[in-house]
Amino acid sequence: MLIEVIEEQSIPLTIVGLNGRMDSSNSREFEEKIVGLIQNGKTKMIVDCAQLQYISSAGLRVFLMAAKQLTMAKGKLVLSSLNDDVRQVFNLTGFSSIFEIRDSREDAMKSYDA
Amino acid sequence: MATTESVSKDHFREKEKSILTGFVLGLVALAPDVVAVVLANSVMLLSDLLKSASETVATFLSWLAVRKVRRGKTEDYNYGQGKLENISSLAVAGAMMLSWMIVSYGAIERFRHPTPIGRIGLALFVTGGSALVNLWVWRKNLKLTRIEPSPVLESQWRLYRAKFAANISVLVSLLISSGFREQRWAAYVDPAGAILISVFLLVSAYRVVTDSIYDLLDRTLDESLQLVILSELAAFFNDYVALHGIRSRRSGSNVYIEILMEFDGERRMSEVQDVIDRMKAGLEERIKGSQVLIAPTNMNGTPASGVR
Repeated sequence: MLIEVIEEQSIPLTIVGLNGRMDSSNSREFEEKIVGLIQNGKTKMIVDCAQLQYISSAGLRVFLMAAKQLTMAKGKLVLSSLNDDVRQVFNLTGFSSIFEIRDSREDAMKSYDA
Repeated sequence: MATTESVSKDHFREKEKSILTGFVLGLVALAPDVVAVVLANSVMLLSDLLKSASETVATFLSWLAVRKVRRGKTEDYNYGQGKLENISSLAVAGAMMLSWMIVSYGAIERFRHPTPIGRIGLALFVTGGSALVNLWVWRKNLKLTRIEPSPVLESQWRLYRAKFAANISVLVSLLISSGFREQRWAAYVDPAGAILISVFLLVSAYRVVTDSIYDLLDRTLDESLQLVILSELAAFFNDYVALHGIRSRRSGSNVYIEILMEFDGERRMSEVQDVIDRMKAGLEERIKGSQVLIAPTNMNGTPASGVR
């Protein structure tokens, strides 16, 4: 799985792009990356899932932990561009009620403008 | 209304009682079996007697295991009970294998030295009675297994089914051997019936061994169950401050789940306990056979002292 981090200086905003499959073999890498960002004060975040093909419970767990840490830090995490399979997992587990989910990265960025 | 815990305790008591009944009945049947073997001079009856004796010992071990589990379950968060059940199932399988060897040896010997059988009146009476009892215990254990799957009861109903089939084989064999006593071929019916028992025993033992060994190995939970845990955590998202870890595993028919979570220090302990109780009850209801421990932690993820 590839994790791409883009700093959007104008808002300021951090965009994390996920590519491939997220499961127990690489969720730790994602956890370290996202926890590191939060600890460095990056509390406004978009996770772009356009290239994310699959997410397992191990990946969801990282999202849950991140959501909690951002809540404490009074930050926000918006997800964008989930494919149908990933979106279904989020709906089934009730994660879609925890996270703000937008159809595209642009929509997600707009949510920070409001 | 009965709580989940009390229903579970009642089921364990019922399970223990059922196995004890099987053991006592098996023990009581051994004495007349010995007399019947001597009078009938049947290798099949002798094999059946030895088989019954080894099975009775195995049933006793199963009863001890279930008794220990029932007591442990009310006192501790007992991680070992699934393994204990599986080990006692292996003991039952061991008894079956031993019986198979005895039966096979006896049958081969009788084929080499054919001998007519003796008086079978008592043998018919004892074996017929034994068949009825084994049929009853088999059906009872099968019913209990369907209510709550358990390796012990699974092996027990298979054992009693094997015993019942063996009884029927013995009865048929005795009747044919006795009815056609004057025929030369009749002397081979007794060892042939013994061979039939040995095949049935071997298949049952193989099944119990493979099931128990598979269950003895700790396994991670299926992905579908992991998602159930996460959905419960999502449902209670606003009731805790941080999630510090989830540990889960399957052992035998049991599922163990440990969740480490941090709560708002400003909340009253009774409120925190209420959240824990509701989350635990929700998970245990959705994941059958699960035991859930939710441990409140400090901000470093270390469980508070005295948490059970």
